[in-house]
Amino acid sequence: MKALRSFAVAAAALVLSSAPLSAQATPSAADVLAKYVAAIGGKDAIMKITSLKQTSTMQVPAMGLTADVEAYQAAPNKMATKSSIPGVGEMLQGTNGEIAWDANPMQGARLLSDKELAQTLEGADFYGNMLYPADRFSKMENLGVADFNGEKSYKIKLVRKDSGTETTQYFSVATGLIVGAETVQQSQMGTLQISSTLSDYKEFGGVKFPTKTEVNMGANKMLMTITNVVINGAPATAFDIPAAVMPLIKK
Amino acid sequence: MPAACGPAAGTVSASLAATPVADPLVTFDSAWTIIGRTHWDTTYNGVNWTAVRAELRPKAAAATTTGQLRAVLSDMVSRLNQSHFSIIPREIADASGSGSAKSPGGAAAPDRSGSIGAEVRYLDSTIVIAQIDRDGPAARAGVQTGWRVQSVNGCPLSARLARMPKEPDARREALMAYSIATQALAGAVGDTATVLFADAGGAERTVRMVRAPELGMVAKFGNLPAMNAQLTFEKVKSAGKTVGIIRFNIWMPVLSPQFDAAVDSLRDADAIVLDLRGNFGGVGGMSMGIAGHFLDSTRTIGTMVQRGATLKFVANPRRVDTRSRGVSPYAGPLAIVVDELSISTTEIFAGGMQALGRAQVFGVQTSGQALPSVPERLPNGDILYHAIADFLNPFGKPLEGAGVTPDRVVPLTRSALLAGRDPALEAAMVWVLRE
Repeated sequence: MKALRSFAVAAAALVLSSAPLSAQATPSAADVLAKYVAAIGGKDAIMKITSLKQTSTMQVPAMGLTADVEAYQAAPNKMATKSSIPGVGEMLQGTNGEIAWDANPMQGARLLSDKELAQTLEGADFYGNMLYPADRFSKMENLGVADFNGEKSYKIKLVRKDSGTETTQYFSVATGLIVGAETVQQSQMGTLQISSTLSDYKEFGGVKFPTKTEVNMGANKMLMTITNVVINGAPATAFDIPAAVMPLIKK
Repeated sequence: MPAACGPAAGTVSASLAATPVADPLVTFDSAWTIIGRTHWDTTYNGVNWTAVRAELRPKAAAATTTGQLRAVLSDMVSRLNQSHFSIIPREIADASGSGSAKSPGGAAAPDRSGSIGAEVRYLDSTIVIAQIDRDGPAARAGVQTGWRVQSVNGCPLSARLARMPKEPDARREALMAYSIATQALAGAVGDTATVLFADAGGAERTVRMVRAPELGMVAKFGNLPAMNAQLTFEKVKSAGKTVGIIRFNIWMPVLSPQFDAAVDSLRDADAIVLDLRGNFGGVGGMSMGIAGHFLDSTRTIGTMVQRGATLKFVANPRRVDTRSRGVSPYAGPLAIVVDELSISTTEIFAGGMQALGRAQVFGVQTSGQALPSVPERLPNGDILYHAIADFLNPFGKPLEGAGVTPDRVVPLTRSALLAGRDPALEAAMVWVLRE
C-alpha cells in the first residue's frame, strides 16, 4: 500500500514536474499519425478492408462542370477511377500496381512514366495512405501547431521514400483527423501547387472517410463530395487495363 | 425602315436586361475580386484595378436594372483591354440552344437556332456570302457565294455596320461585323428570312428562305452558352493523290470522337488539310489531343502562364485508333487554313503546329485573341467570362494580339467567291500535293 502511495506520489510529482514542458513540446510526427489512425477507426478496422468502391461527384464551380466519379482502390496498390463529364465523356485513370494510365476522349490514351508514375503508384498505396507506416517515408516531421482554415492543427511534413514527393498535412489537434494537405502535383504539363481541405468525416465499415474535399490548384478550385463508400466492394476487373490503353503496352 | 430594325442583340441587351437587380454590389464585388485574384499579370495589363473598382462601384450601386449592372460590369472588364473578358447574360448562358429556353428568371432568350445555311465574311466593308451548306435553305434558293447581303427582313445591314464602334484592328472589326450579320440572319427554325442580296452584276435579288436547324449538334460545356458544333470531312482526289479535308467550327469535346474517326478514315490519304476558318475556339485541352494525331513524339505546342503556375500544353502521339488498335500518328503533309475569325484554341493549335514545323499555315492572320479563360457564374446568375492566363507559342511568343501569321498569306476576295473559288484552300492543296 505504501509502495503504491509512494508510486502515486512519485508519479504525481513527475506529472507536475513535466507539466510545463508538455505545454510547449509538440508530439512527434509518428505520434500524430498514430492518433490519426486511431481517430479514423484504428489499425484493426483498417486492415479488415481490402478494397473500396467510392462513388462521388466532382465539381469545378468556375467552369460550371460536374462529373460523376467512380473510384476503386484495392490492396496493396491498385487504383482506378472513371469520371463521367457531360459533354466530354468518360475519363479513365488508374494503375494495376505496375503500370499507370490516363485515357480521355479529348487527348486519347497514354501510359504514365517517371515522376507521374511514381506519384500515381504512391497514391494507390492502399494501406500506406491510411496507416502511414514509417517505411514509406524518408522523412516525417512535426513542424508544430498551425491554423488551417480556422482549425488548430499539427503541421506534419512527409517525404515519400520512392518519389521524394513532399506533402504537408494538417491534423486537427482536437480530433486527430486530417483537415488539410499541401503538396506539389507532378503532371506532364508541369508542377502544380495543390492545397486540399478535408471535412465531413463519415464512417463506412468502421472507418471514417472525409466525404468533402476542396482542392485549390492555382486559380482553379474543385469540390469532391463522396456519396457512398462500399467496403471491400471493388471487383478485380475494376483494375483491368482499359482497351484503349492496351496497344500502348510493349509486349 | 421597319420598327424592328434596332441594333442586334448584344451581350448586355438580352431579355432580362429590364428586370430589377438585387444586391448589385454583391455581384460587382464578386466579379472584381475574381479578376483581382486570378489575373495572371499582377499589373493587370497596366490598369490600376483598385482605381477601377473605386470608380465603377458607385455606378454599380446605382444600378436598378440587370441591364444597367451588366453595362457597369462590361465597362469594368473592358478596361483590361484584353480578349476573353466579357459578361454573358444568364438567359443566354443557360439556354439549351435547341430553341428558345426559359432562364431561371423566367425570361426567354431569343431563339436563334435556325439558319439560312450560309456563312458570311466581312469584305470591303460589306457582308458577303462566303460558304453555302449543301442542300441548306440558301443552296435551295439559289444563293451564290460572293453575293452581298444588303438587308434582312427589310433591315439594312449597312446601317448596323455603320454603328459599329471604331476599331483600329481590322480583325476585331471583321469579328464585330460578322457577329452583327449572323445575328441578323439567324432566327427561329421555321421562320422566314427575307434577304436582299446584290449579285455578281450588282443586281438586287430578294430571296425568301425558311430557316432550318444548323448542321451539326448542340454542344453545352459547363457555364458556356450552348453552341452548335459541326465537323465534316471529305476525301478529294487531285493529281492522282488523295487529300483529306477536315473542317470543324469549334473546339468542343463532343467533336473529339468525330475527329478521331475522321483521322481513322484518312490514314491512307496522301495529305490532310485542316480548315479552321471561322473556328472560334473552345476547350483548350482539346488542342493537345488533336495535335497528337499528327506528332510522332511528345511535343509541347505552347505554354499557359497562370498566376503561380506555368503549364505546358503537351501533345502525346495518338498511337491508338477508335477501335483500340495500335496505329502510328498521321505522318503525311499537314496544312492548316485559318482566317481572321480563327480564334483562341484554334490559334493555340495552329500556332503550335506551325512553330513545331509540323504544319504549314495558309490564309490570313488569325484574330489574336488567345487567352485561356473560364466562365464563372456570378451571384446574379450571369457568367463572368475571364481570362486566367497568357499563352505563349513554343518559341515563347505570346499569341494574344499577334495571332498566327500564315506561312503563306492568301486573302479572301469577293471576286474569288463570285468565281466559286477558295484561294486559301487552293493554296493549301497545291502545297500538300507538292509535298
